[in-house]
Amino acid sequence: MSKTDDLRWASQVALFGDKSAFDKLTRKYQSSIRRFFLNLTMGDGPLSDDLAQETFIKAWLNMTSFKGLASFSTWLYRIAYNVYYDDVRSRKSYADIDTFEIDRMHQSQNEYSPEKADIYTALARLRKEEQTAILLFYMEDRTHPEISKIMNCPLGTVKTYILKGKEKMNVYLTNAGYGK
Amino acid sequence: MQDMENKDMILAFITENKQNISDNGFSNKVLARLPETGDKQWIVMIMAALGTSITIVLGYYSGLFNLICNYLQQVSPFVLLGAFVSFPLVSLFVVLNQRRVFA
Repeated sequence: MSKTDDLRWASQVALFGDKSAFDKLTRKYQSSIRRFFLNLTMGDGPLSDDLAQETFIKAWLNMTSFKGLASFSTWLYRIAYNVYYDDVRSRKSYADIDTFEIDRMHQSQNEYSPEKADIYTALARLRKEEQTAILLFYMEDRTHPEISKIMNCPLGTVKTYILKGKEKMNVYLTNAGYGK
Repeated sequence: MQDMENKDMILAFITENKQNISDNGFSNKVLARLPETGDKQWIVMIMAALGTSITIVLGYYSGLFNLICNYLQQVSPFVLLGAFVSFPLVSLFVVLNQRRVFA
């Protein structure tokens, strides 16, 4: 399934509201989008699935705004990024609560995470923007220009986020005994 | 050099923690929650009707239909019969082949 398939399915959705074409796109990208959210939410499975659903529904509603200038996956990650940051902003009122502790609680409760705790601990040491850039670059195999489009920030800023994120993760990994 | 080692360590760590999440009914839930945006098939029907009308009008006024009729009168009836019989078969073959390619 190539990018040509993505374009064909996306145009079928945009022109005819074809649900079966959208189903194909959802099945193709559900894993990567849910994984992206799962890592950003520190392993909170139900929340990441809710955010992923919202992402796909927004993609469905706004398919006519997809011009095909960037790849469909980049466009979808851009929506996912906005959905995540809208959610983060809506939770700002709970900022006094120790979110790190809550994240840790989710780690022990959800089905994916027990053996993945290390990556969440490592990511929790980064700023949100650094987490996003690192995950998109290393986990989702996005290029710097693609990340720049997804995060809607200059290329240099993306490189800085990745560099800072790498430094912090490196300190954690070295202390945790990785790479020995 | 140090930077390369750091990059490899982080890449190895993240690759080790990369997971493929199985669908488990997620796509069906999304499909069930999609709001209706309206059936737009009518656009295709209107465009097809418009295209056919334009072809007929232009064909009539340009004398293209007369030209075709004159040409058909010169062709052997056996050839016409062959074309008449084979056209649906060829069309069916093209449609089926297209479905297989796009399936």
